[in-house]
Amino acid sequence: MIGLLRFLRRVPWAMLAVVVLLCVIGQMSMDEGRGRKQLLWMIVSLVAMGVAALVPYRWLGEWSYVIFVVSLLLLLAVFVLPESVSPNIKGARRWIRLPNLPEVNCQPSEIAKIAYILMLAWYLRYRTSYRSLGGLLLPFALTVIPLALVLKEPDLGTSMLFLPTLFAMLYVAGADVRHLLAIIALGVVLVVAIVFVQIYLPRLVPAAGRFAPLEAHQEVRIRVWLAQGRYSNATEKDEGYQIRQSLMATGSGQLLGQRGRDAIFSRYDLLPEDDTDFIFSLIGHRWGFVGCGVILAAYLVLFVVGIEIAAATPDPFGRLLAVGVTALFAAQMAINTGMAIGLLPVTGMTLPFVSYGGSSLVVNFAALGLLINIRRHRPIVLYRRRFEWNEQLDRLT
Amino acid sequence: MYFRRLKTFLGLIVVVLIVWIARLSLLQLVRGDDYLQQARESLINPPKRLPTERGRIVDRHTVLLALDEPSFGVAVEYGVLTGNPYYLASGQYRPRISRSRAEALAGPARERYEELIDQVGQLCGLSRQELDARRQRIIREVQVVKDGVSRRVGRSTFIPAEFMAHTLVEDLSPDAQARVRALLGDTPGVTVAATMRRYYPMGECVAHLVGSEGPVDKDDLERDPFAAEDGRRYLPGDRRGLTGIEWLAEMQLRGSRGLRQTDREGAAIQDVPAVRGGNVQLTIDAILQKQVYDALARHVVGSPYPCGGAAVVINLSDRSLGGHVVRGGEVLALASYPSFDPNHWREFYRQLSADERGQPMLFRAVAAAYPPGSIVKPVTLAAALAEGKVRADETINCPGWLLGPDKPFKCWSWSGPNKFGHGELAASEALKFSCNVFFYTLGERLTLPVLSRWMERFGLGVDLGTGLAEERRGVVPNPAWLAAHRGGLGGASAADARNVGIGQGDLAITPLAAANTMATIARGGIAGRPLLVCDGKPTPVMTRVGVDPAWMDIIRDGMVRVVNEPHGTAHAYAFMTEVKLAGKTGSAQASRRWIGGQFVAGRRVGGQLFPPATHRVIRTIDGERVEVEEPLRPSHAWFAGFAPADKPTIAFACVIEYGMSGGRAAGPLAKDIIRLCIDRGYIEAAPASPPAGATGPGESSGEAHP
Repeated sequence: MIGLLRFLRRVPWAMLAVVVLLCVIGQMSMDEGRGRKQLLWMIVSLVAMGVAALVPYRWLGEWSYVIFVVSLLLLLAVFVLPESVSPNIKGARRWIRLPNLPEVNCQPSEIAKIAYILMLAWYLRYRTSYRSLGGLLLPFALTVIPLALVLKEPDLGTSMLFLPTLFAMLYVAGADVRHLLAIIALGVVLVVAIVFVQIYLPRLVPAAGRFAPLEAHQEVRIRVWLAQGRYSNATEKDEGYQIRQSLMATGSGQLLGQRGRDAIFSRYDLLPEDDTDFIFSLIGHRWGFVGCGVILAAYLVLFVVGIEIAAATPDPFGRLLAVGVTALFAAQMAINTGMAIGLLPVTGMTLPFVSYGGSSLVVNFAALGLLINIRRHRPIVLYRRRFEWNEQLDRLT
Repeated sequence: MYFRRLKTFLGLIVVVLIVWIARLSLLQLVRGDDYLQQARESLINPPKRLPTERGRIVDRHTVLLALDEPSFGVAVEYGVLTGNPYYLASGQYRPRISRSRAEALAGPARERYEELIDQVGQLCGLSRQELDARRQRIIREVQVVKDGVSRRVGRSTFIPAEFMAHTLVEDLSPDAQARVRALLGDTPGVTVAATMRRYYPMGECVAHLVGSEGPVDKDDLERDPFAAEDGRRYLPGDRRGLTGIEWLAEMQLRGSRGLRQTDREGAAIQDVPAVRGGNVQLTIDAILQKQVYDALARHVVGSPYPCGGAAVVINLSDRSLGGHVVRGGEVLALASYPSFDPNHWREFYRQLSADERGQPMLFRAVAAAYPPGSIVKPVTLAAALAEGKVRADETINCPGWLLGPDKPFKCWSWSGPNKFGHGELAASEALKFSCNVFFYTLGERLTLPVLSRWMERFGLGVDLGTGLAEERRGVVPNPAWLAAHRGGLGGASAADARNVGIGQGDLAITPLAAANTMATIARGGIAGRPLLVCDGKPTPVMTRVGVDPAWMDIIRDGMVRVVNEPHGTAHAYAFMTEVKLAGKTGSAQASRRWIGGQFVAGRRVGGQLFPPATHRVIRTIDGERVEVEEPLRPSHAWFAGFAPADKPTIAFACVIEYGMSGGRAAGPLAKDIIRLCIDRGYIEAAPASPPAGATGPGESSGEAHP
């Protein structure tokens, strides 16, 4: 009884409150059938969260390499298994499902995200090697393996989560900022170079077209993003339909959102994927700037609590794990909402706790469970800190 | 350091959120109104076209000659025609799903639609190739418009025709319509749609004049006379006049299309009703036209080498008939035989265009120029009298021939077995006998430049101003024309002047021009122009050609004698008791080569066996008269004139191709036409006084006029 009370006292209620808020908003934004399915998934998710919160997280850390390898094997299995188990949907093979239970399908890439964070946190926890440039090689190599496998599926959205998480964890763990900035700069230069060679160089030198590094549909997506709703040809217009509708839905929400006659995107199915990847646009349409603000504020609370958990945990593994999970949420949120409002190119990405989608919901709740787990293991503070500012003490800790 | 870095990490997140908030306020607060407006507009469905109704063509008594009737066709969405994957996958043109997904979904739908269109084709009796050809035509035309609009806008753009249904099969019979409806059910994208089709109640008798209409083609779309008018602008699948009055009066006949645009809730955004095009009233009397056409058909079929013919009736001067005004120059009948059924000509186009002998698509009355032969002799006489080249009382001797520079020019009386000369002839007698020597002489005295100028004044070889695309001017050779067309082998000679004087040589005129010239003579030398459309305007000003009325009386006298006096060239064939008719026969020698190419004995042309193109004649060979077979010298048969002779009200001209003899072949036709005009009230019957010493129409005036 005492233990339960202690456990309940240590649960980060503020975080759970905003997660419930996000889930409710998600429920209000999808149709009834899907909402009911999502509720079922939520039951599964709560179980997953409970398990992740109750299993001693250090025990997860000890098994993290095994879990990571298993998740990599699952990622590989997507390509190896027959189509009946690993179906090809819209040209991508991301799912594993039981042949006689097509409703229950799981995405190995979602599991890989958590396994990766566990593994990386476990790897980085007592090291200092990553403070040198050479020591960064292994963490990057460990990142590239799942990243490449997910990219191959293809699932550009999920693969884009690994790098921000890695950078956040390395940064907090104490890697040299100059190294990280140099790597980021290198990446930016590479991306700009690819876009230049693909799109701008052929305009100057027609013969350069054959060196184009991207496939046609990828190029079109970048063009569509660069065009921001103004298109020069029909293909771009077709592909740009999604982002144009998304901007129209979000923008037309104005300050307080549209209800009644002008709730166009609520009344008609005009915005594709408006309960999964583009649910944020629909929220923007229904509840306007205020609604979007509430969503972003809720996420800010989630991140603050996550970072607070990281700060209050003395255990290095717990610290890195908390930062990794928070960074994962933040990256998902930033990419999903960023593409909905036209700041980032369109990729497939769910909005955590809001979007419809079983795998993503379960994994996000499991990650939430990990945060609760870490919070639960916070040492009992026997004395409060002095209220005077002691810079030296602060620096030591 | 760990805590500082955690704070920095949180700071980074906050920065991202600030950027996101800034972007959101730009989208929702600054541009919110624009996006809301766009969203509202995206609810509006593409406009639907309502069929355009073309104006009617009616005759002078408002008998319908052409009208639009509602008909049912099979309309297919453009997305189905082009196989647009988005449309096939979702039934909508907006790309709601990714292209690859659309392609995957579209596959089965495409097969289903192809099969459906095949079945529709079978029900309508159309082959797969025909359907494909129509489909390609529609797509091509839409692309032409799209290109044009894109060029105007300066970038690739979409046009409404890309989001509409286009008629693939027209004019379903009630039976086919029921079957197609049953087959299609509620299939989206392929429907039985109401359209308009052109119906010509009078059929073939006015087919050439009324003309035809058909779908617009690439050129029409590129050079659209209605480009400035939204409702009338040509769109692929629209129809426009191709020939005849349909072409001529396009600006008046074209209707304005209706447009209906609704939003997703069915509320009308735009509702423009279709406006029927203006009606066009022709000067033709449909009943007279039908009767004249039937008579023409009868006489052409009965002619020795049945090919074709034309007949024209023109009202002479303004008058009131049964309460309505008939203006001078109005054409009352304009028949051309053979003709075609304007309601079904497309189905038989191959046969119609393969008929080289009949050439049913040829509008002979205005588009065929024939050598006129003797019917221009009154004009030659008028010119000579006006120029003072012959005195009214002067006689010229015809010994049967007139010596020329290298060979004698024979009179028609000097050919055949019984050679004779006409002797001393005065002007009106020369017309009566149609003496060639007299008019050779006149032609030579006038010289070609003067003669051709006079012929043009009488309305030959000039633009008659009907505006019809088919109208031809014919040829009145003047020295410049000859120099241009003889390849430098010499200009006008006396021989040309002689030949043109009797209506031969290079002279060629249309039946309409012949009738109009007869009208000029009948009015006593006042030239008007033929009118085809009752447009409510006053009669165009008529001009005097500058021949003294007294001299015109001599000509009229000669033309009366042609018909009403024994031995006049048409007396045996065209004399009638109901009214006093004045006319002139013409047996115009035509190109034999034309016949040689087509009329070889026993040769089949157009599926018909032709009579031999030779005839037996007696020739003197080595002092011995023998009968030999010679190639035929073919002639077109003309008869032109006016009635009643004393107070003329109508002028007419008719021609029967290869009728051989103007009097024999065309005379009876002219008589029939005059009787029809009397029946319809255009000529007041006033019995001609029986000619002194008349022997009646049964009497033959010999082998008479060739």
